[in-house]
Amino acid sequence: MREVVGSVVGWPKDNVSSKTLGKSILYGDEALNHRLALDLVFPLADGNLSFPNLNGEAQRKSKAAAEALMLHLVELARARKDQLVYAVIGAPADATIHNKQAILEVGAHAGISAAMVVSEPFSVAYGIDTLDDAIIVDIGAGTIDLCRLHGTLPERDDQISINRAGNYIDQELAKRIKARYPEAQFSQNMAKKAKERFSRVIESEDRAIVSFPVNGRPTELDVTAEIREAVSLIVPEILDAIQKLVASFDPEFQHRIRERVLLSGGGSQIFGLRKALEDGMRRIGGGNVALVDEPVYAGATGSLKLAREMPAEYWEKLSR
Amino acid sequence: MKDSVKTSTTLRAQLVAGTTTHAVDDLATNGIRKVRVLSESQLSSTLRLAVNRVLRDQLQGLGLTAEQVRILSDRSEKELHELLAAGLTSQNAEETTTARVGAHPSTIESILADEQLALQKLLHGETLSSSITKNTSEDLMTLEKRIAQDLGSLIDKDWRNELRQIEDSNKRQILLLEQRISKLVRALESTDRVLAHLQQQPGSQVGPGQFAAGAALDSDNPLYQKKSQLLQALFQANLKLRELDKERPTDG
Repeated sequence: MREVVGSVVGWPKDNVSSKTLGKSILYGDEALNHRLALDLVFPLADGNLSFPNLNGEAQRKSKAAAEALMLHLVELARARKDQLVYAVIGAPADATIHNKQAILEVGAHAGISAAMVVSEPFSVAYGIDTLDDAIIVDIGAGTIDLCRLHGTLPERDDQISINRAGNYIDQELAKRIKARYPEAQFSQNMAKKAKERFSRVIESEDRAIVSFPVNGRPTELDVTAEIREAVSLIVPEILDAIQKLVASFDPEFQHRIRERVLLSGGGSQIFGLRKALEDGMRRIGGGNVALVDEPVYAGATGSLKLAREMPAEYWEKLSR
Repeated sequence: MKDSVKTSTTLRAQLVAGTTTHAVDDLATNGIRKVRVLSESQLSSTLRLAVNRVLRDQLQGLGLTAEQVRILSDRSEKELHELLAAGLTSQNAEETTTARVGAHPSTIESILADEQLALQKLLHGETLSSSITKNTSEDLMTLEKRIAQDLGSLIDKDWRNELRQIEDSNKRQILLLEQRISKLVRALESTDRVLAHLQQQPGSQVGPGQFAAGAALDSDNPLYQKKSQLLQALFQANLKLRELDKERPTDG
């Protein structure tokens, strides 16, 4: 069983919307679909919980959203009442101690008995049993996380986080569409859906035609160039990060990690990205780029595997 | 004959000498749960009955009248009654009885034979009886030894039987439990398969949380060593994080 929930929480704005929706709180896509009737809160920023960096009412709301979202995730796991809940929670590769402590705090509030915070690209690597001689590039919504694997638990120098990922592409795409079609009416969520539907255009002759309202009337718009440009924005940053990880590795073994660059995460499904990266890697001597199986779930799958293979005594010690 | 009579008067002493004494706790430890206790009165009445029967058999071929037989029978009954009433272990009784029964040596021989017969019947049944009835004049010391041996083997036999029964019972119990464990293991495997299958169905209500944690890293896994080290390092890192979290000042 898999459950995917967008990291957004919405509370009905008033009693009317509460009665209309029949719920006191909504999550993920359901919240986005009813966003006009809700106070939406995005508890993550750049892949990390944002409340530690906020103040006052904004902090209170953000923390409440994070706690509610975590509680919802625990409920989705459908643990029996007599079971202890253990969780492996992914964090961006460059998450600070404070970021990780915030995760543990929210986890404890949600009734998790013991939690481990793990670098997201490392979870991916563990899930596919690739623990040596590889670079994982996990392209999420908030961050792109790269991790160099050489048989040990990755340290800070082995990992790089880029804060321009899926959300950044959506913003850039919306900005470009707005620039070309100023009269078009659309939200960032609509731009995101267009990106997900047409991201293959990066290497094809197909046209990306979307239907957005113009003065209230559905109008077909060609956004091929905009999508291609927006999607391509992340390629140079990924290439730079790969080069840094390769260059700072033992020179005798650099070729090994260049030969195994593995893409995961929702953003890895952008058609043509693999080829664009391989082309770009020629400047550092070339390399092979591959896509992991089920890239969207690779991190969660790896985390689950890690949680199950973790000796029970470790969990018990963490839960005391 | 006097010696025989004297010996017979110490029947109780012979009984005591021909047996071994066991504490009740020891018998229980050896697995013996029940002991039949013979009272002296039971033994006496059995002896009287036996003496009377043997006497009549012996007198039958002598051509005596019925009246003569009755008189002899009554007298022997009386003598035996006095003998038993005087107390078989008493030295005084022993001397008195010797004097009284001196006039009836053949009767006393019969009494002795029947005493022995009755005794073996009570103690051991037919096994001992065959040896005793064939030779009533057998040396009593030998008889004592046999009784002691027979009693010993009887106790040993009971003890071993009990032990064997307990062992058999335990083996059956172990076998039964092993079968139940196997059945439970099969049921668990089957449940896991069903859960895994259900989890893949659309709209499944089976959550990952319903699987037990600690599916233990398989030691046959070629990455076992490396993974074990990584898991340990990850655990240590998280333990450290938790310690730091505890040291963090709380809000407010």
